Amino acid sequence: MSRKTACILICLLATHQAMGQTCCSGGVPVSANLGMPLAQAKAIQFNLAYDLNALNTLKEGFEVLDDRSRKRTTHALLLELGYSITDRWSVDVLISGVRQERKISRSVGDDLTRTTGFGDATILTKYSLLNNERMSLTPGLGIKLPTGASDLLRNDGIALSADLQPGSGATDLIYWLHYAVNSVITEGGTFFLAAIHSRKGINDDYLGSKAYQFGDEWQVGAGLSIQTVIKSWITVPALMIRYRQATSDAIDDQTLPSTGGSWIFANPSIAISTNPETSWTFSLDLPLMARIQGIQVTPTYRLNVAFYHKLYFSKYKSQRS
Amino acid sequence: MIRLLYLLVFALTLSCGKENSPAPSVSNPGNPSSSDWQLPIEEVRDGGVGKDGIVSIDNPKFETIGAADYMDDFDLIIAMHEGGQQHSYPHPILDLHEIVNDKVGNVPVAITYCPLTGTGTAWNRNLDGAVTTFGVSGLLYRNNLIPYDRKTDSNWSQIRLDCVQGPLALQKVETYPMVEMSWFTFKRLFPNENVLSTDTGSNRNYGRYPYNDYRTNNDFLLFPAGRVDDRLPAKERVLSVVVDNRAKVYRFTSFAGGLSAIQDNFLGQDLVVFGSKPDNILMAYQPLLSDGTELLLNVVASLEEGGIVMSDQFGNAWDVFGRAVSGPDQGKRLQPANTQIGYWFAFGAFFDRPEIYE
Repeated sequence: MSRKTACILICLLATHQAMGQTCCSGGVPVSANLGMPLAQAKAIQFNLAYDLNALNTLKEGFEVLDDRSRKRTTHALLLELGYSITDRWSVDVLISGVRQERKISRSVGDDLTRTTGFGDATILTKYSLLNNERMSLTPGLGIKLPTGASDLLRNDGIALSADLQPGSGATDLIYWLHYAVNSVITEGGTFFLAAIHSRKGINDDYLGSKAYQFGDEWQVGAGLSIQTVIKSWITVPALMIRYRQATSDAIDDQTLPSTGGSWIFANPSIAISTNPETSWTFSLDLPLMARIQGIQVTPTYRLNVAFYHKLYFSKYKSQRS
Repeated sequence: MIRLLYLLVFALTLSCGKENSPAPSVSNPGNPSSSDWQLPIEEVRDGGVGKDGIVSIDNPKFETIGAADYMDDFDLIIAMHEGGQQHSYPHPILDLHEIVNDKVGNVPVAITYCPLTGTGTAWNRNLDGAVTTFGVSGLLYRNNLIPYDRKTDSNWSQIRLDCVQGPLALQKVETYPMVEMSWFTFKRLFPNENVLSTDTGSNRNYGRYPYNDYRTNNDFLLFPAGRVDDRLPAKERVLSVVVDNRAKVYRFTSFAGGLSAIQDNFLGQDLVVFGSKPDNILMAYQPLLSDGTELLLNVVASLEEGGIVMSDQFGNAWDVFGRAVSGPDQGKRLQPANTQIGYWFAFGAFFDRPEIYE
């Protein structure tokens, strides 16, 4: 693989690690980690990420409430595998382990509830409509499968609420789009646009007799990355501004209070590559604005660290190099 | 070697089904074991906010009616009178705090209110000789609030009025009559009374009801009801009277013409139920004094300032709190009945086929 191709790939990787799922929505931050960059046919890509989503800010509408006693934290370990069937068609599979924590700070000691388990798994199929050294356009269609537990009980046998479960118990449809234009502003500059829409399915077995549906979600982000070379490392800092909108959850088709809202985030990240096949990405999500429904704990920050590696089957690798 | 690793990872991906994944786990140190509960554990729910995630009011302040400008006329308020003192608690504040640890007269009381069942109760915070405070456990039984006491960490049922888990299990609470009415009625009856202040220690928007259309949407319950009784609309507000763990409910529609009273008997207990749908007030007492004197109570012409609602054959005037405010028995009180106002579905869920007064 040429160095230039590797640079483009790493730029694309930097822009792909940018979408964040931001509030309690059934476990795994799927959209934060979904969608590998385009690669040549028969390439296998591997991305392992740790994602920390801290929701420590209590808000009502636009207003921050003076109450720091409620904390919701999601730790997730996500493994994504991508396989390029042809130069245009590829498929990604995302699996995860998730730890959900709810902590209430009290004068008589904290109240902590923690769940751990596999999260839901996602399969995304992508088709490259356009891919050249100047720009790329890739839509995708995916499905999130209810592989994570959604019926966990406390150790005294009491059923936990939906947002504390590692899984959602529902099958979701995912629409995905990525667009990138290279050589913007400078030769190493890339403008990118990323969008994801998740249509949530229904968990028909919530609490044994209820139907629970997380709110549908839209995310659209646009940003710029600049590729630089420091020593022999390709380094790609990026900044994206992202809008996220989630409709309210529903129980038995009735709108669940204090769920859903709109957010705008700043998402700085940096991808560092020590060789053309391997890179590390560090990204941060910082809320710039939030308008939430009712009263909710809402994102304070999100951290994501990812290790990426790509491999070609040898006969194709020799053709591509 | 790397390919082998990839194959292993793919195999892991494909085998990550729910059935063969490692068992997920839950950790919540400090919570009781299931054997402690006096309720069917599968019907106790975690409401999602955690213990004390809804913050009780432990140092209540009171303000004038004029200061409560967030209240609309149709908003509800509950009030109690004890030891010569009246304290009143607007629903919009209770919706967001659910428990007020207060002192009325010299009685330490916990005002507990459940927005999901619409039930409000006052009970004594003195448990086994020591005064404690109550907090919101974050748990619900059949949609109803489960307060916990901070002395023993026991959990209590707000509608059952007893301890359902912990060292005080099955102990009953001592309750006090609580009268519910609309804000426009309250202002007319008690224009000089103070009400619970929004200076609660938490900055909240008390002018916004947090549960969307929950109060009027009969199809909307957040958690399974447990037992469904559809003889009345789920969210119809009714007055429940409980005797020997059986319930009888009275409807506002029985008082559609304005202030009137019903003389009734439920399981051997004489009752006088008074109410007015236009004034949105409904309450019941036993027509008895503590010395056993039976009273023949009739409603007055209309509700006026001071809250006088009935008179008797001895010339006493009785107010909505069951107090004789004038007459030979001034200062005495009617014997209380075990009453709560709430949504019909809640009483249908807690009591076996409640009797409906028609």
